[in-house]
Amino acid sequence: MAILRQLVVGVAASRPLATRLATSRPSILAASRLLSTNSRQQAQHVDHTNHLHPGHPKSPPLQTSFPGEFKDVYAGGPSAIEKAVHLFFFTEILRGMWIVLEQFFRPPYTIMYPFEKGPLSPRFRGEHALRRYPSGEERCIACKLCEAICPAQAITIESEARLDGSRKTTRYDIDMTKCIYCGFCQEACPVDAIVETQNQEFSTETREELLYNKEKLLANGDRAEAEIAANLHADHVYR
Amino acid sequence: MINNNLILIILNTLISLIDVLLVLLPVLLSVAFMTIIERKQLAAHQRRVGPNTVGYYGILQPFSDALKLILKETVIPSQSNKILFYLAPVSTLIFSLLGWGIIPFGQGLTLFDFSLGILYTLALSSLGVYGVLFAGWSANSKYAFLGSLRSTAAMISYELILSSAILIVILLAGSFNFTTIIESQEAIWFVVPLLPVFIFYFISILAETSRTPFDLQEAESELVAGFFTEHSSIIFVFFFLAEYSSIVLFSCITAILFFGGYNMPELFVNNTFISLQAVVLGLKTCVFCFMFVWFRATLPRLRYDQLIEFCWLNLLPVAVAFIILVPCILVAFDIAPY
Amino acid sequence: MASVFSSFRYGYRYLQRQAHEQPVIFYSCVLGLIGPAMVMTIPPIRRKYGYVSPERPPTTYPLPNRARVPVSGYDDE
Repeated sequence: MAILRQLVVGVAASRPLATRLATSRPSILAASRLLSTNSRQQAQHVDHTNHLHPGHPKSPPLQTSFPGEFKDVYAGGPSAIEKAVHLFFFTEILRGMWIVLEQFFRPPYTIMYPFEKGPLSPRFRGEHALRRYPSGEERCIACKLCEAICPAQAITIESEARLDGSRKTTRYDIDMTKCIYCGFCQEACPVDAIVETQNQEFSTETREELLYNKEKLLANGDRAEAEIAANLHADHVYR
Repeated sequence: MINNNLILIILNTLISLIDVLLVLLPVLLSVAFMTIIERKQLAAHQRRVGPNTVGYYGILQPFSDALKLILKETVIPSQSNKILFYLAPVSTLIFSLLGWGIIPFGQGLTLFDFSLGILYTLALSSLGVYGVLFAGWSANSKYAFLGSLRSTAAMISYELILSSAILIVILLAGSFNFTTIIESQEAIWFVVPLLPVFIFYFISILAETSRTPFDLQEAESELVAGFFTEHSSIIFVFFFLAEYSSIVLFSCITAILFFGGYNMPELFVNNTFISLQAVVLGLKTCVFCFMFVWFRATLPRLRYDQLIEFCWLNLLPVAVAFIILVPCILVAFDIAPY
Repeated sequence: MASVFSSFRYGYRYLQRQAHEQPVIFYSCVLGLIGPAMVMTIPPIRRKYGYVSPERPPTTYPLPNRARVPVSGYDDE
């Protein structure tokens, strides 16, 4: 095929007569415009940076050629036989399949969840907790900012002044079934009282158990105080 | 005298039944394990673990799945055609299991050494379309109906390519009989001279068993589950079994038609002491089952028009060209086997 | 002369375009045409170099040219 083409090109170059004759035939121009690229049928490389097979678009860009001028629009691109081999033997698909086969022999990424656990960010937002000061006094001052900002309206707070004049909550309920774990409450809290811990495994068998009250939240805080403090410390430079 | 004949007839019937069970039970087991193989292998390709809890390495998963499905409630759409609704999965399963009747598992190890075995196989794969049609039509659901239309069109189109490819193999072997085809490959496996034919043959069996990339009748994102959308519980299990049975069956037929069936070169397998022919056939079948899942892990699903266009505009000309070319070579070099 | 060449060139260019744009159809036609061409050309060449096609294997036995004696006495009953 290639030899034949060279022969023909040679003949064309050596015969200006033929070129002159071809002026009367505008079909050359038409031919170079009819380069339909039916990409649905024939998968071809479009990736020019591919170094395995230096790719070429299937059809060369539309060239302005004079009617009398012969121009091999496919010159410089891959030969028809090369294209056909790629097409008929599905070389592209085979390369894809080779990649998939390589993955087959590699170890899985899976974390065996109940037995293995992945790392959690210090900003992870899980189960809520109410914190205390080191003296044992609860931090919450019942400012109700968290209640105000809560987009799911999951927080209910009632408060009154204690005998020493400090305002404390008498009731601090979070409906964990409503909570969307957006973290706005801990952002809003001026004293870092309400925080979200990294605990995400607090599923229960009944719905009622998910309606947390103040005692539950304080217990959470007492249990996870070290963890909460460490997380806040790890994250404080970014706040 | 009559008594003796009666006993003979009963005995013969019993022996045939045992024969059939001897083939069918392992086949059904292999089909069950094909499901777990598919899930595990797909998981491995995607670097997951796959089912690993039921039994060692999840090997009993198919049985727990089957148990779960059988224990589920059967829901039948109120306006459906009940008889066809039940008949469809049953007929699909039966037609895909009937194909095993003529598979030679070793020299003489076959239920029925049918001299027109390949025609029988092709006929069965055509009949399998009816189950799909029945299921889609009888369910009185537009999703099932559309899915069955897609399935039917695809299966009928690709059956043409499949038959063409098999016809070329028949030309080379000079016989419709599976055993003869296997024996004619003792010198060289047909995949070597017929590599291009094997390529379009494999594409067509992918479509014929409606596997990815041609599984668009099960396109979950468009149709709920294709033609068996409305089928639940045990009748769904039948469809499931039929699908995987036809995968294993076509893998086996591929091994027989192109890869020498139960024969291996003497270099690798010595059949003197113990016949390893069935093992060899099983291993070859496993390779093609692997390829089915491998394709599924690699290729995305085709669009419907691409599927049909690929069949009629790309595969069909090539198939026709080879149908002309191969017999011409046989005649020109005077090597036709008859 | 020139017109012959130019028509040849147009034919070639048409084929080239087909080969690039519709390779499936083009190569199918090529393969399909190679077949009959081989049937036409190859057997004469082989015969010229001394190839004799083998005799077809017999599918029946010729009847012996003698009096036939029907076998008897071997029936099961």
